[in-house]
Amino acid sequence: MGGAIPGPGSMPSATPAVELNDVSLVFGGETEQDRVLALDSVSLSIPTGQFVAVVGPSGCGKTTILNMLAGILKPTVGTVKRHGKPVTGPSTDIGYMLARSALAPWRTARRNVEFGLELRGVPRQERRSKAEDLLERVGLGSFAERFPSQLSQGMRQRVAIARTLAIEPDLWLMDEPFGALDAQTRLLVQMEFLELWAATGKTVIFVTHDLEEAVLLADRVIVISARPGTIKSDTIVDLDRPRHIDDLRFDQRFRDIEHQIWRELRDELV
Amino acid sequence: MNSSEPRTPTFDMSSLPAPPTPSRRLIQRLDIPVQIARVLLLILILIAWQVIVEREWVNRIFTATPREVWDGIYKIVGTGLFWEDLWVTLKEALAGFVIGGGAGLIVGLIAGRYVRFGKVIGPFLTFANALPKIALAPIFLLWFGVGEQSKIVLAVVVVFFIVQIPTQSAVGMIDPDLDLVVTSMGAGEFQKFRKVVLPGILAPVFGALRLAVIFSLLSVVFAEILSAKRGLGLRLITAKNNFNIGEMFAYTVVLAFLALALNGLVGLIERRALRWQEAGGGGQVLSI
Repeated sequence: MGGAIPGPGSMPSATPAVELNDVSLVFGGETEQDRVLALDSVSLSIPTGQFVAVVGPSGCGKTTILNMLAGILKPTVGTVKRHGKPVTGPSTDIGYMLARSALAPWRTARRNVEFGLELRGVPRQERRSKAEDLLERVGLGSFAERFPSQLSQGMRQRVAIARTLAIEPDLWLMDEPFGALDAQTRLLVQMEFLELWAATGKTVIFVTHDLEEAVLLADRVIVISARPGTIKSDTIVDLDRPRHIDDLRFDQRFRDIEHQIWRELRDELV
Repeated sequence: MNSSEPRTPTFDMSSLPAPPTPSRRLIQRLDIPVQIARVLLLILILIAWQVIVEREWVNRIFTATPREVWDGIYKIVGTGLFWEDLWVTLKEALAGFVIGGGAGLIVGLIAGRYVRFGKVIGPFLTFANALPKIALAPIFLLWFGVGEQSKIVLAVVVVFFIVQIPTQSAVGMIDPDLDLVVTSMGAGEFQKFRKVVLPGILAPVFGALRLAVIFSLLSVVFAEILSAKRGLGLRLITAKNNFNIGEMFAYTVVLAFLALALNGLVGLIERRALRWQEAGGGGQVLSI
């Protein structure tokens, strides 16, 4: 697991998993003053299998980038491509995770994990055994028949991870997925997630407010400037994998990278 | 991750008293003191009623003692006519509930999900709802006759809004995060309707349905009192016109029990449909 994670430029000929070309996005527009330039000429290329963290001040358009990749928002100008093809609408090979687990409260943990498979018409027996297997992998094997209201925050977020794993997405879009967890639970779920991710080798775009989290998890950290959002800096996190993030937090190399990115980010947080 | 071996706890769990047996648990949940207090309160109310009427603190001609009401119930229930009338009223109320509730549910769902459609029909619905619907009963009697049809139409009109308004607002309150996640998993509009919207609105809609079934009965009985060929409302007003006060109250009590039964029926379906909500209470709460 882990090992050779392709960084930008290591596979110059391959089509990037994700490509934004001169993308600008304007919100609103009843009147001139109403219009908000959310993103300003953003260009970005992410190779397959890379774990990219996106940090930046609130309202800088981080979530907007995810929504465009998910096909929920269209850029005002510019092109958004996945594997060389323009994004036209929602697609089944994207896994979206949010700060709130967004589980269906009327479904048990198992049936929440089955949700995406159900939408695709996977037969009952097959999706059931797959869901049970995934819940086992996130450490919730014995909680399969519990409803979300009977689970803790951390457990719910694990169910959400299992739900995303179930649809085997080719691209993970994560919007502060662990932001609502307490510090210790967060560390635990982060470690579990890294391990699960390493086994899949899929592309991840991870939006977070937490710079430490960004550097601990990602291969590359992108700093977005305050609105209108532009790419302020783009840093490769050259730390070995598999990462033991519980210890890595105290590693000097880690601290140096975090500090370097912090200097970029600090100017944007007024 | 869970690398360390589970430690043997120092505290011996088996030293705790045995958990209660199922029958014991049932007794605990029934909460005997509350049940006793309820029965005592009921007896107290009946005694007060008896005393107030017997001492003629109220006009004796227009009132009846609990005993007379009981005799009235005993008498009417013994006749075959009563059961036919009960069936007519029940049939009308259920028809009004199903048709009005169904229409309210469908319109509420569509108007909630398709905001522009909701905007178009909004003012019309608001105006129709502002009409004193119960005052339409005489018109419906003219239009649809004194038979069952006019009763059902009135109930439909009353029930429709009781269901439509909460349904529409419940659709608007569906968890947007869940909607987003399910959309990103590639769900089509119809799939989202079935798997997110419908189950998502069930809790508030059932609250409205409980209310609607009672109001359906209420509308039907009101129309029957005005004019009818059959039904409990007709019997009630006939008893009153004959100064048969005991029997009049008897019909009132019967109607109250009918309303309770209908409410209970909807509640039963609700509890089956919303098992997940009860699960949240940790199994300790039981409302009787």
